[in-house]
Formats: sequence, structure tokens, C-alpha cells
Amino acid sequence: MTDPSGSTPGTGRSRTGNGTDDRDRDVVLRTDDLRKVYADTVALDGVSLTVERGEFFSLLGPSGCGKTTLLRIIAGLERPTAGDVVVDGRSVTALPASERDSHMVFQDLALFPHMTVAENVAYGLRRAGVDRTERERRVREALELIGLPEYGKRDPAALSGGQRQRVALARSLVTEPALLLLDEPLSSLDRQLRQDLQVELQRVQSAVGTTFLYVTHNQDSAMSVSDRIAVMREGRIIETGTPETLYEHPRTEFVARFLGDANVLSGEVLATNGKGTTAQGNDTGETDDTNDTSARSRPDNIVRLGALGTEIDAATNGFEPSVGDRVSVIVRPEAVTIESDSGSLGGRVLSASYKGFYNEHELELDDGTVLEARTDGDGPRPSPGERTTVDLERAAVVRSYSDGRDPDGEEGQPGAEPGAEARTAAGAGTPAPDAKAQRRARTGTGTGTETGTGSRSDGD
Amino acid sequence: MATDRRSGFERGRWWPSSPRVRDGLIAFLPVALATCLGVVPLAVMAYESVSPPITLANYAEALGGVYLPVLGRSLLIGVVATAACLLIAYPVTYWLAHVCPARYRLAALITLVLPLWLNYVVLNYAWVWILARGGVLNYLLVALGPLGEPLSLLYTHTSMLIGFLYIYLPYVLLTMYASMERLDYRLVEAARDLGAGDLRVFVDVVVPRTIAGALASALIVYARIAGAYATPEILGGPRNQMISRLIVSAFYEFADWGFASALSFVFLAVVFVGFCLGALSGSVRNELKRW
Repeated sequence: MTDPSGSTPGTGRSRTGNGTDDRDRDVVLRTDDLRKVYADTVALDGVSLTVERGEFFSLLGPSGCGKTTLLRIIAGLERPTAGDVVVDGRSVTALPASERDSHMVFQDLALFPHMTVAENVAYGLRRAGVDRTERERRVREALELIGLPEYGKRDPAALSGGQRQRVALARSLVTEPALLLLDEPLSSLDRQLRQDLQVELQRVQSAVGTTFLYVTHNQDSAMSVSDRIAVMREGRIIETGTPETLYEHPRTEFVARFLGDANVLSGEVLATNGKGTTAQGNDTGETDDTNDTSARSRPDNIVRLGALGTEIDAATNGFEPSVGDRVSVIVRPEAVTIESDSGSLGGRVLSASYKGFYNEHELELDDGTVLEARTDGDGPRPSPGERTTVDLERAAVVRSYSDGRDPDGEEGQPGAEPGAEARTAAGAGTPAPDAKAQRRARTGTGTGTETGTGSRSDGD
Repeated sequence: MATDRRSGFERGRWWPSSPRVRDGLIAFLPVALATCLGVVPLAVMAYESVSPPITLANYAEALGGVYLPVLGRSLLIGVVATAACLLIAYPVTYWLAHVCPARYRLAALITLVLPLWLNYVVLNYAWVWILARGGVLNYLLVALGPLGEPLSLLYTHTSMLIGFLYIYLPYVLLTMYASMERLDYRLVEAARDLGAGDLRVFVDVVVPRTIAGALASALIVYARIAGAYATPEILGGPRNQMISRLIVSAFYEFADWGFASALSFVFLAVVFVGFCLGALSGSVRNELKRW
């Protein structure tokens, strides 16, 4: 183990750089070290985040992670214990909700039942003192935007769930706030409707250009609608980045697992290419890739690992482990390729199942490691028991707390890692992996997308 | 043994086998008794009011001249006291349902409605003790300095109103609380979020969502206040005469039963019309069904 400080340059930058470069970029929302403490629990434990104008930004995390509390503090419906909320360069922490330039779409919508759809939509305009003709024009436009132009005279109770959803969206958008806050507004809808409305949300957002701050515990939703995502856990932001960065190059095992299925291996760093200090992204999402293709095509920093009894390359994002460090590595199931003869690892197929547009396999490598692999529906589909060779692509190093310290020394919470029981499941030289334990751990995080059992829950 | 289904009686037995007939028999006496208790006295009074033998003279007297102002005053006092109850009940029940921590809610509610469990005549005398010239309030005001000499608080409109508030507020609180509890607090937050200040939230959301409860509680206490006897007798002065006082004296002092009954029916009619107007609204009816 060498000096861990060598791997922390991203650390200082994220916190100190926060306030200074607002001028360079068009920042619409900034929170500084927000804390919220209830009688016996810490709901928010120092949350700093920056959202740029026009972004579709998601707060993603399991229930109880503090994301709704954060949203309500930004809305002004709750007061932080400490910290500051800055909207459009102005601190709004002391302002009541009614005087903030942000509107909220509530989880249960909270449409006024004693008002018609048009009166609901017009409410914010009335409170803003917009005169009658202007008000009627804007309500009409808003109803057209959401595709319900004929519904103004109806009662909210006479609408379907999806229609109510749209009305709530229109009511909050019609005054053109700087920031629209959405508190899991789609969670009560069935899957098909939710997907339709996600598309609708994106369409509306690009039509009006308002900044959306979207809270959800559903990683599918967050991945498909967001420009950037902040993954939260236990009152902290664990990672911020584009969906692609977080999926392909998560920096923590928690994020890797929360955003999808992951094989977690452990290995020892054999060599580094020394580019870790310039890696993209940092905790508060200050930089991230604006062009996300770079994340997939050229990860900056490759380390060579001894794992699985052989050597593999893995990318690191934002920190650089030292030679000799033991690290965890995640490989997405779809990045495990099964080939007939050219693969570098030998193994045996434990199970194979056809899922329509993809196949799912459970593989046991020669050293006993169990991997999950996903191949195209029309790709090779070896049968259980068959020998095969395997290649790992796009392996990514994630922080490992197995040696009792946080290699990046900044944010995670050692010892509180829910995936801990599975972390060593596929370790080099670790005895027989338990695929079931892996699965248990995955479900344990409450995220869904479970492989191997054939069910794909959508985390709701 | 065959059963004659049509009669519901089993042959050779006096006891019916059909549950409908049996239930009807069991229920007959109590229902008849309750109906008689409710209807017969009213019928007797109605008869009394139009006799002897059949005349509307009593009604003519009741509706003419000196009695109408008293009736009007009673109704007005009912309006004022009911409005005062609502004015207090709104903030109190809002606080109770949406601000007060849940674990203190029951205790607070019980404390607020405690007077319900005491005889209302006794409650009135409690205020005599407090408001009298030598009473607790005047003693404190003089002893602590703000006043040189005691105020005449008792036997005024004020003391009567205080008595009505004290006795009838708990009913209003209970009815309003049931209504306020069903007010979805998210609506309050949504209105705030959309730019409404406290007053706007109250006017735009709280009142429309609880108006049925307010009307229901008004219907419940209004007639009782307008027709109250004990409170004006004990706490009111000679100039605060209300309709029940007149009815009672017609019964007892003048033994003019016909006139007393006519006065009662006039009052009943006025209150009943008001009640029907309120009950026209379906949401008010729903609130009343909770009682």
C-alpha cells in the first residue's frame, strides 16, 4: 500500500471549486453543504450539488436516502438545519416556498379538487398577478403543450391518472419557473404509462427548456430521462454524472449495483498508466463528460489487474489506485462476451435462458468464479454444461472498502456497504462464489433488475 | 314439519320462523315507543297551539308586535355566537390536525372538549364566579394593577357570549376537526409552492376544503344557541332576553299553553328552514351524517 493521498486530487477540487465557477457556467441551482437533522436521524449529511440551466437532473437513491427531503428543502417546504440553497445566484434559504422561483410536482400531484383543470393550471398565474386575458392565453397554451386542450372545464377527479399527471406538470410549468422540482410523480402509474409519460416529460422539458430536478428511486426512469444523475444514499450524494458515465464507469460499488446488474470481482493492481489524476468527473459532478461517448470509447486511466487467475485491464474514473492495492472491479453482464474459442478465460456454462432480445447465462470460470453474462438474442447460446471461453470488456474499478479504508478518502461510508457480503464472491483466489448471495445482495439494495431468476422488476 | 312459507309461521307454533317477521315483532315495541316519545308531545303541542277550538290567534299574537324583536334577537345572538365559535375553531382545528405533533393530538383534543362532560348549568355558574364584580378576573385585574376598580362584566352581552362560546365551542371543534383532518396537507403545500401566502392559502384551499364541516357545525350549534335558556338566564342581563325565556314564562307564569306552544313552533319553523337550506348541499349532509 502506498500513500493514499496520491489518489485524492479530485477531492479538494470538488468542494472548493463549487462556488467559484458559477459565473463560467449557467448555474440555476446550487446547494452548499445542506444538512437536515431530525430529532434522532440525519436526513441530509452535507449535500452540495450544482444544476445547470436547462438540464434534466435526477436525484436517484433508495427510499430513505434523503432525496425527497433535499427536494423539499430546495422548494422551501422544509428548512435545512444548515447550508444554503442558491437559485439563479440568489440565496433563497430564508425565503418561504411562495416566494421562490421553483415549482414542485408532488408525488400524489396535489391537484386542487375544488377547482377545474383550467383553474388549477391558472392558480400560479393568479398568485403572480397575471391579468385575466394573459392568464387564459397561457393556460390554453399549457393545456395544448400537454395535449389536453379540451379538458380545461373538467374536474381533476374526472381525469385518468396519466392525464392528472400532465395537468400537475402544466400547473407547475405555466409560470415558467427557473426550476421545476418533480417528486417521483410517476411512481403511482403502471409501467407502460410511466414509460409513455417519461417520454412526455422529456418532450415537454425540451419544448420549454425549464430545468428539471427529478427525484426517483427507479434507476430505469433516471437513466432514460436524465442529462445527469446524482446517486444518493444515507443523506449524501455518492456520485454524480451522466447516466452513461455512472453505468459504465461507476466509482463505487453501490452505484454500480444500483444502476443495474454487475459482476463484482476483486483483484490486485499490477500496473497503472499514470493518468488517474486527470480523470474525468468528480463528486459534485463539476466536470463530467459533456460528450458522453468519450466515457465508453476512451476511459482515461487503465490499470492492469491480477484477477481471476489472469490479467485484465480495467478503467478507473476519478481516482488512481496504486500498484499492489486490492480493488473491486465491476463488469456488466452485457460486457461479458462468450466466444467459442478466442476468449482468454476458460469456463463452463451453468445455465442459459432466452429473454427475447437477449440471452442470459450463468458461467462458472475455471477458478470457481461465477459470472453473469448477457448476449444478444441472436448471438451464441451455449447450453448448460458446455465449455466456453470468456472475455471481459469495459471492466471498471470501483472503490472497495474491503481493507477497511476508503481508497479515495472522501465520501463513502466504510462498513455500511450493503453489498459487502457479495463483494468477495468472485475474488481471485477466494473460494467458491455463491451466486445466490450475489443476487441476495443485489435485491438487498432495493434496486431491482435482477438477473438469473428471469424476473426483471422495475424497482417499484 | 312443514313450514307455511307465506305466513312465516311454522304450523303448530306461535313463534314465526321467518327472520323478517321475527325481527319486525321484536322491533315493533321499541320503535313504537321511540316514535311516540318524539311525535306525541309535538302533536299535543301543535294541537294546543291552535286551540280552543281551532284558531290561529296564538300564532297571530306570536308573530305580531313585541315578540318578533325577541325572536330576531335570539336568532342574531345565535348567528354571532356561532360565527365566534367558527372563528376560534378554524385556527385551533387547523393547528390540531396539521401542526400539532401526532402524539400530543389526542391529549390536546380531549383538553379542548373537556367542558362537554360537565353539566352546562354548572358551566354557566363557573363563569359567574369568574366574571362577577368580586370574581376571579376582576380580583386579578385589580390586584395586578391594570384596573383601579372592578369592571361590570356579568349580566351583559359579553358575559352571555362568553358562556355560549365556552359551552358550544367543543361541538364546533369536534365537527371541524373531523373536517380539517381530511384536508390534504399537500394541497396547502401546493398552494404555497405556487405563490400563495398564508391568507391566500386559507381562502383558496383551507376554507373550500372544510366549508362543509363549518356549515355542519353551524347547523348543530346554531339552533341550540338561539333557543338557549340557561345561559341567558344565568349570565345574561334583563335586556338580553331570548325566546326561550318568553316561552317558559308563557308556560309557567301565565299558564298560556297555547301561546307558548305557538311561540315554540314559530321558532322551530325558523330554525328548520335554516336547517333545510344548509342541508340542501350534499357535502353538508355528509358532514352531518358523521354525528
